[in-house]
Amino acid sequence: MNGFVTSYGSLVFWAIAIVGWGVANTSANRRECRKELRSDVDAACALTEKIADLFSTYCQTQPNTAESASSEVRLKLMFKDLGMQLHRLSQRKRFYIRQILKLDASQQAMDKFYVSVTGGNFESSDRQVSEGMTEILTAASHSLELIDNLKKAFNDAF
Amino acid sequence: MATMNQLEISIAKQFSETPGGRHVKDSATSGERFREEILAPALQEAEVIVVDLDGTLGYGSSFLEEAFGGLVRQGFTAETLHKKMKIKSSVPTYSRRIWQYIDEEGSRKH
Repeated sequence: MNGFVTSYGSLVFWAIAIVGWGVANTSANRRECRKELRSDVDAACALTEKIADLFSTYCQTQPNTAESASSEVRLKLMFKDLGMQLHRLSQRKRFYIRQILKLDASQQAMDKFYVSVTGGNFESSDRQVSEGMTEILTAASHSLELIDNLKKAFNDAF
Repeated sequence: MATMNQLEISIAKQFSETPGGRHVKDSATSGERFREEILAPALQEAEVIVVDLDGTLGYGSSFLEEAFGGLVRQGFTAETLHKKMKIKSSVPTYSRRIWQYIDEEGSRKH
């Protein structure tokens, strides 16, 4: 026994130290990754809510006005940003490998939300303010679906 | 223009940085106008076209549907468009929607 300790003692010490460092490092990386993803998912959810709110205001403005035109550009810019944020999330290795189906569901929800806001009479001179309520409710329900999908994907990834 | 048979169209540079609206009556930078004045003639002229969506302030789906889904209503088949047209975009949502509009319109026609 003494011979073993003399011969391999320092080796065992280093092996334990390396394994310990590995465990601590993996755990720290996981925590860091979780924090970053949480922040990205929260940002995407917050932007989704902002789009739904702005769309609600937009539906109540008269078409062909400066206010309406400004909201249209802002909505398109926000969707561009949201599309990029979801794309970035889908490129995250942990999300991509473990949550590919749920991310696909999030993309589909994003598509439905995108169409419900910027389809139909969006940017049209024929847009009727009185018809806005149905559109607002449809967009709101699609925005909630998107947020739910993103949160589910995040919760299941960790 | 990359080769003799390939034509690259940048919407921001050749059409507008603020494309919007479905029909010409809605906007001077509508999807209908883009399709009629730029996209459809390019498809007839070149073997392959690359449509670059980057550089604009974003797109509404009404613009994209009328510009690209409208190609099928105008007479191009979805198969031809898949062969002849490439979409370049840093926002994958746009290119995915464009192909969905084309395929949906194509299946409606069959």
